[in-house]
Amino acid sequence: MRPNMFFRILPLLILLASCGQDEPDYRLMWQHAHHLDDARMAAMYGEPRDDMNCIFGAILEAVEGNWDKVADLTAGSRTSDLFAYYHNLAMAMEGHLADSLMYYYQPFERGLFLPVGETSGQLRIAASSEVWFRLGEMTMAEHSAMLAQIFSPEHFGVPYLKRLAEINMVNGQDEAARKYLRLLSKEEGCSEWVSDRLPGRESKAVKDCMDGLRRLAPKTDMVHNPSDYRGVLKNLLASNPDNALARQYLLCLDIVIKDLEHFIEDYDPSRDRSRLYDEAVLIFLAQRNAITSQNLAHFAIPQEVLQDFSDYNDMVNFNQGAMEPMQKKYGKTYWFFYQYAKRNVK
Amino acid sequence: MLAVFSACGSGKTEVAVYTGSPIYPDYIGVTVPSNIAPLNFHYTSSDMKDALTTVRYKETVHTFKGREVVWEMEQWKSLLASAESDTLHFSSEIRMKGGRSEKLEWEVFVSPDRIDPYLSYRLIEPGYEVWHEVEIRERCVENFDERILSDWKHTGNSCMNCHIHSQARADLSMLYVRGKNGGAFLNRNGELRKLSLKADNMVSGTVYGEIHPSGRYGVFSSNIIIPGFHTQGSRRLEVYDTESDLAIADFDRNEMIVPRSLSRKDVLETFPVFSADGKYLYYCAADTLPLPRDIEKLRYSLMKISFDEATGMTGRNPEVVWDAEEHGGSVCHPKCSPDGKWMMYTVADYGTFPIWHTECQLEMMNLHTGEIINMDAANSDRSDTYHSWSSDSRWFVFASKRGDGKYGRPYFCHVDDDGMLTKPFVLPQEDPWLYENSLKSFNIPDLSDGPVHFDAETIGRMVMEAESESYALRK
Repeated sequence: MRPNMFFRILPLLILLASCGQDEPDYRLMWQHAHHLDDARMAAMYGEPRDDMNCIFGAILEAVEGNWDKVADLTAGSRTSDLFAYYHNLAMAMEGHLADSLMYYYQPFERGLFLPVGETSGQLRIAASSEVWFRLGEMTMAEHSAMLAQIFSPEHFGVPYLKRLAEINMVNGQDEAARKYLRLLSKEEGCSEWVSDRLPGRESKAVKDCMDGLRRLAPKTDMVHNPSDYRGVLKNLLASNPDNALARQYLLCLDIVIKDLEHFIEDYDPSRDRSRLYDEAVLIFLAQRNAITSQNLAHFAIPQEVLQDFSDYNDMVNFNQGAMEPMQKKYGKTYWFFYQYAKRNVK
Repeated sequence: MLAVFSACGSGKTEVAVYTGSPIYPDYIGVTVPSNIAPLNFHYTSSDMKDALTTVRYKETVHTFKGREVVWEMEQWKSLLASAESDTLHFSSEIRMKGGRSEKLEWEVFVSPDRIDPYLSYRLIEPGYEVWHEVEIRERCVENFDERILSDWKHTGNSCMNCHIHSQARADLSMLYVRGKNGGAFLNRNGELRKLSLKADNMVSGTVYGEIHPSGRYGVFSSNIIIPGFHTQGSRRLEVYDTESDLAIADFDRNEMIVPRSLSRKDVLETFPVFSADGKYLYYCAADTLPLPRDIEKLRYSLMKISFDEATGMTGRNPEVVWDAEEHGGSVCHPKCSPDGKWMMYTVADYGTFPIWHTECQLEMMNLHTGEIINMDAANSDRSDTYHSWSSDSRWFVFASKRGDGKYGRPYFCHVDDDGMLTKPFVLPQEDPWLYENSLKSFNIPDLSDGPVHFDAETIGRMVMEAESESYALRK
């Protein structure tokens, strides 16, 4: 082996050697995937830290669709937009976003979508494509993946090239896909990934995945502002009412931004079932003095949830609105979030 | 030809990029100027084992062995000099894996019309509307020399826009550096000035424009530009104006002139240029509409209005040169050939931002007769935009996304006296794999008859240290 080749693949060898340990060294994987030497890595990201390792891991594992690992990496008591973003996505990919939403830090819409621009941090930009891609919104996914590449230290990153290759495969733009695949084919450890995606020779698993994403593509076009999340989700659902991820994201977006009028408009109690939704409905009805037996039946609100809501209100009144006494018993309810969660104004 | 292959001996998967031409760049059957840099290329076939390439002109024969054909500079220059106005003959014997052979023969015509030797462009990732670490470069198209005219390193990572020359003149050009310390940098009479081209009643600073052949004036649009994303993946980004007017800058008197007839609130006016003799302004105009809702109804016509060089004033009555309704399209980026004969522009189905419109095409009008010239020979099934003329009006360059559909590359095309076009060819590179390996677009290519006198350090110093010259509205 030529000496320069040895040093080129050294990070990979170290990585492979560490695979038997509990958790891969995602920092090293990140460094390798971005062609960064040690000095540049240290200058960009500082000394190794557990939370950084987890974020590197979440970004890298999400691109591969390893949602169990993403959930593990983001588990625990984290208070950052990025952790919330990946945790929510991992939960949603398993169909559990609504049930898990109030059990995690929720920075309003920033836990569901990451708005990006030239002043956003590099890791936020690197992450921002993932949700759009999984939703089937390939324009926003591509935009974010391009930005991720632009703002990566060497204007290069294996995760973004992979994402760009797959986006173009979904869009049927094989020549662009081939360009990215060809660049990836030169990267150590990517050979199998590339082989599985050669246009016209895709593995069955990849083909099924791409076909699934193609089915999610909007059938009607619209031109929208990049922060019009609701408009984009509605458009995706108008084309594909069975887009389960888009449906979870739409309802949970309404909920985290406390837009209950739109939530009620979007909510279908016959298909969307979660205690979170029941709690949101009760706030909406209470605000309009409309907790009637007819409405409770229409929204299929369980008696125990209604009773809990009544207890919650009694306790709020008893404590004269103080937050601390409420948190222990009701901190995981939407009622608590709705009443007490406030935006950080920077 | 199949250009995807896998399972080579190293265990890596190899992926070729193109499925169309057997060589890339595709120089088969092209016409090149006699001063162009060497046409280095590589074979694209995935099944290829080896190749022998022979290039003949009369008694001269050059042979190349292997996948890449890379010329010695002197060898190429000597060949082109001898073959001017004549044809080079290429033949290839390609040995495939499995023992099969393929033969390929093609020609390259060497035009006696020399091309302006310099080309400037912005190197930028096609990241829709966000920039980071951008450069404007100037390349000598006669060889592979390239230098940086302005870059992010010297300007505090500012965005910068196109470097445009007036009729391909190296002594008359302009570029913008955006941001806090930015400005319009005017290169005129050997001097570089930093200008703030904004007056009170303009809707924004200047955006698109061109310098008058006399050098005294510039005509510019001022636009409120909004980016919007298509939800259908292949259509990507639409950029539209909610307001846009035209203004004329008097570079001698530091005044902005905002003609009423070119700043109507019910009309969006943009992409202004001068006629070759400087006596007219051409620009694009559309009625205002509710946007982005009606974006697909937004269609710009090509307009013309007289311009008085003595006063800097325009006439009052614009006339329609190319009617959007009649043609069912939207025109943008008009550019007059320096000889005054041709007007070239881009036509898309709608809107004012055609770079992601695969249907958009270059079109050319004979300004003497009004005849519209078919440009099928130059156009592709991808976006072909942002052209500029050489000083002799025999060549033009344009940015095309042909190939991978994403990354714009500069293509050159020859025009004869009758408007006949030749097959375009991409700017030659020393490394024949450069375009496949590059993740940058060559943005807004602009030809010039020589190198400009400034560089990135000069621009950087002026960005950081020089005050912008202010402009006042002419009452």
